[in-house]
Amino acid sequence: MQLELVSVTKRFGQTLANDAVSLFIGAGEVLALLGENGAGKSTLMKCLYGYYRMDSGQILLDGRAVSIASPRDAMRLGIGMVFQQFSLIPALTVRENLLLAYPQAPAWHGRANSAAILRLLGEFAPDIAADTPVAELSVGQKQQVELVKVLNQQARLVILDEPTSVLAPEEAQRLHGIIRQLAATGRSVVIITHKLEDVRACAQRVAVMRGGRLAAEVKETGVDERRLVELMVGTADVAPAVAVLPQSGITRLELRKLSCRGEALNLRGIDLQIAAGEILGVAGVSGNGQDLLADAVSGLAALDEGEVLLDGELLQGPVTRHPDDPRLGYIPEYPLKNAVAAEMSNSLNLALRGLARDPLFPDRQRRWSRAEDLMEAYDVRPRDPGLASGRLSGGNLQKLVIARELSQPRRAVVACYPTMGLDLQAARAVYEALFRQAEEGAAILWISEDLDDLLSYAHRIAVLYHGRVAGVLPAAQADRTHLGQLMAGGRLS
Amino acid sequence: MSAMLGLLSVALLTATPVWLATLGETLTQRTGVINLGVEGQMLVGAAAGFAATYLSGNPWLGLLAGALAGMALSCLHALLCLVLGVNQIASGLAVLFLGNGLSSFYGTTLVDKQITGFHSLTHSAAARWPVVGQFIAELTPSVYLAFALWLACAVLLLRTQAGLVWRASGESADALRMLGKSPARWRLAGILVGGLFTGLAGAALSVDYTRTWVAQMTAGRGLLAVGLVIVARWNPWLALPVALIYGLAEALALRLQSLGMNVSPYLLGTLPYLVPLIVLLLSYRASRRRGAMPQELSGVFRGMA
Repeated sequence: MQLELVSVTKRFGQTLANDAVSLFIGAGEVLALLGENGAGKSTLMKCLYGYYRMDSGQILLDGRAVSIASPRDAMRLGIGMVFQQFSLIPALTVRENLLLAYPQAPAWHGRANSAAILRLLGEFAPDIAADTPVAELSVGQKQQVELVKVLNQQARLVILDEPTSVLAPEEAQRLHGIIRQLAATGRSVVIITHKLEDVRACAQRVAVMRGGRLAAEVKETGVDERRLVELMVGTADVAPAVAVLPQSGITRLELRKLSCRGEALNLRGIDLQIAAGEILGVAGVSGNGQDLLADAVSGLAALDEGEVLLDGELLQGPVTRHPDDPRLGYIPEYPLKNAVAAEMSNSLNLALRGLARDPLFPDRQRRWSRAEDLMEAYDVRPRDPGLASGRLSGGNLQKLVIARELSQPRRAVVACYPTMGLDLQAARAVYEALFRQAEEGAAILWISEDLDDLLSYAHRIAVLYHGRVAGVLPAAQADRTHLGQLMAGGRLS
Repeated sequence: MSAMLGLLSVALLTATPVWLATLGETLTQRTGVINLGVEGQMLVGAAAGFAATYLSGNPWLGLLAGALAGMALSCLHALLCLVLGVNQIASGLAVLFLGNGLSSFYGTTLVDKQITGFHSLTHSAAARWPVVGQFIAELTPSVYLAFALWLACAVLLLRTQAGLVWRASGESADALRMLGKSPARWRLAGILVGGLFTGLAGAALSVDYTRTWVAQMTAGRGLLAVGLVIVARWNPWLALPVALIYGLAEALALRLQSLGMNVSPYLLGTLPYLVPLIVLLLSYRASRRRGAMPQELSGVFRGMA
């Protein structure tokens, strides 16, 4: 199936989200639609999927003009879309979720008659058992089920909206493989992304969008990545402007023989020292105890043994815990779940630190104006202190958390995947705020999966494997192969 | 052995109205609506069922009339919360009190009236079967009807496409809309079927179990059924065992009373309500699971319909 968008224009009120964009998608082709948040790439694809109605423009399917007024129309024409928010029902099993969306589902659900429904699941995700409740699947597996659900409806063009922004690296690689497999079976794929890694891994052609317009179309083979960044952002320089050097000799944050019990695995005997102004990166495949380490250092998880010292003073131990110590900043994983009360206002969420020390009747006026200032300084949009934080976009929510945790000088900062799901410029802003704390003398414990970023910005890198520190390397002496070996449980040679 | 079977058959007879009501409310809640009006629907069903039996002399007609009366009253809940967007808790309570008032008002003429009810099976051929014969014969047609409905509902809900959509409507209205289906329509069906079952439950109580009519004769069985839905974790299969726990406790209370236990009958009367509560606590502690609740039910307190 060949698809062509001709001069698609879409406005939201005053904003021009798509300005006469024309795009061609060939049969069996993987097209990467590259751009920063707000570049209009999702809007364009949602117009194609019938989720939005375009103001003007045309869609040509195999040369014939078609009208797509709803997602059901799109599905009927063989166009499917996988969103960032999945529409699966967690309480139901994989089989039930697939049956629910299957066009000619059998009235009676026997074991024998769901073979057709499960055929594509076996083809693309053979390791997922059909009778597992969706709630028990990993994010990557949910995405695979969602994809199979769309394919089950005879989709010949699949649109994936920022599919790798929620995935761990190995899950992303798995998805890249599936995308190549889809193309090999003659289906077309559009992957909406802001990651060059996705382009590198599976795209045959790249369309770069910026400010609602198509900035360029490039054949992927032999593409210059700096040029792509420039097309996408408008400048090739996206490295954080802050460079810090650790102040040698002063140990600021110290983890001594830290042991802690978690749901899936335990941390055992973690020994780490971070100097003032030092950025210690923690690398590792997700699920090796990273979140538990962050919770233990910030006092949210109870320690079994060992202690966390800040400037030689006991901060967390088996008996005492200080989860809301003003000297400590904490940016947890999944900010929506772990960092804010989603139904509460931005103003309250910005005041959460130290809430227990507030008077019974806090000064709401001051809280409000402080929120206004912080949202201005950290560019949180929309600038509405009264808005429920759950209604902010991912990037803006992260900025809100950064504003709360890093706007005051801290002695130590624990940052868990602080740039996950953010575009390059937003990520740069997060890094700058984080490194500015280091410049002021804070010790930074930075948990990340992005080895390139860790190698560029961290001073030392510790690798976490099965709840233990597998090794600590100065960033200057580390390389990807080295770290990869440690992350896979190998020893230093 | 026969003493145990005897206790079990009494328990089943006692449990049947609660069993049917629990089943009906389970079906309602699986579509994502909570209906606290079960008690009112049962009372209306009991009154209408008793009246129809008294007038026609046919208990089967009585059961049918009771079921339809319960469904008719549940239409009010559907109107209030699905069409007018009233909070489900408030709407359910309105149904409860209206059913209570209506049945008491129109039921005054039915007090002290006699009905014949179903023919006993005690002298039938089945009663002469070894061991289970007496047990089978002591059960009444409403028990067998409940059994058939229970089987049919559980299989339909858990093994068919329609049942899957029914459950999906209780889990995610958005997912249903994306499939081009209307959650409100499935919820209407859920409320009406629930009304049908609870009305039938009330009729089974007045026409088959007590064979009398007294105002407020359900004595909290309807509200108990709402609680038992949680004990049964919204699983239709478990509606029987949880209702049986209630039935056994009630049968035990009656037995203790007839043995002349020196305990206030009022206190003994709380036993059938206390026991399921204890079972709820124990089973939750044992499984450490709070899950299984249809997700859309959590929207009740967000003020949505």
